[in-house]
Amino acid sequence: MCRAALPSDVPVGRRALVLTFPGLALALTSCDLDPRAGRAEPDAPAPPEDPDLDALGAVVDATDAAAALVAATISAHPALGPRLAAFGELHTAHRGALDGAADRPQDTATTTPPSVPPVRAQALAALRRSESALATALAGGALRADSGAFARLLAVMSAAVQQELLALDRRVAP
Amino acid sequence: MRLVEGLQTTLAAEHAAVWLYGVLGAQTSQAGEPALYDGLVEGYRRHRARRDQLTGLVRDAGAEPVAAAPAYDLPEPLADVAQVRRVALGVEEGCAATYSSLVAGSVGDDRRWAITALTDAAVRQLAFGGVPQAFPGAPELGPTTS
Repeated sequence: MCRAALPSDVPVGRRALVLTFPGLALALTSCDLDPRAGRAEPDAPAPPEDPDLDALGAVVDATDAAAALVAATISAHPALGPRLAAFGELHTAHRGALDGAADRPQDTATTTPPSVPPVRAQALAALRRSESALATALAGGALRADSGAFARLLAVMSAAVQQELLALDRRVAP
Repeated sequence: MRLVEGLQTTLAAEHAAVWLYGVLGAQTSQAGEPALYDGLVEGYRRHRARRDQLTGLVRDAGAEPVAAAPAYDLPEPLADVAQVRRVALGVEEGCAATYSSLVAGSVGDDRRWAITALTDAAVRQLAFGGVPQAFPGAPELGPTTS
């Protein structure tokens, strides 16, 4: 009875999430496959732009930036690797879900390598701030998302980052 | 999913969570397992507060709040501390799934409530032996393992 009262059959799956971006899917199809591409079609209505498209790009960029800082921090302070590796794995998993949301891999942002404080404790604090900011941004994105499925994805990602931050506090310092 | 249905489903989950936390707390020694006991008390208080909030949200939506069942089945016997932890973890995992569904089926302040509850349930899982997950409350979003 408890299981019935705590449903785990969430109604929105990954495939459904793909379908929440019809504007993007249509746009890609018309660019890559449509032999009429490039012709003037004044009467053809433009596919509606997905209202979450900009948010998706922003989340991809934020996730990539957080992953880059994790990698740079581990590179600069290898002793932090065991405590921080899970963040890298988390961002990779999230990136895969974001690519799935758009039904294709998203471009990786080309940014300057993040700077890492030379003192280990400061580097760890900077990473903690970065992850906290990411979690806040994801929660904010979830709140503003037009698509319920996209909102759910962002909310779950935010919760995952918060979990990892708490786990980081519990891991033994090197 | 209509908003009121999502709120009712979540309220039903909170009824179950409150009941289960009560049972778990009664089975746990405050002196012998103080950290676990404190976690259970905190979980009980948190879910009781959420139950009351949801009752108000359902009424605000113009519906009659779903009532609690007289009792709920325990998913497993509570013979030792490890089983108590597992059941508490299962409560939070189930609630996280319910909250994530409510996120998808709500907007505005209701969605904000669901996001906060989802994060809290995800974090609380660690207190009962849970490990961080890539998609707490929505594990099917991750890569399938076959």
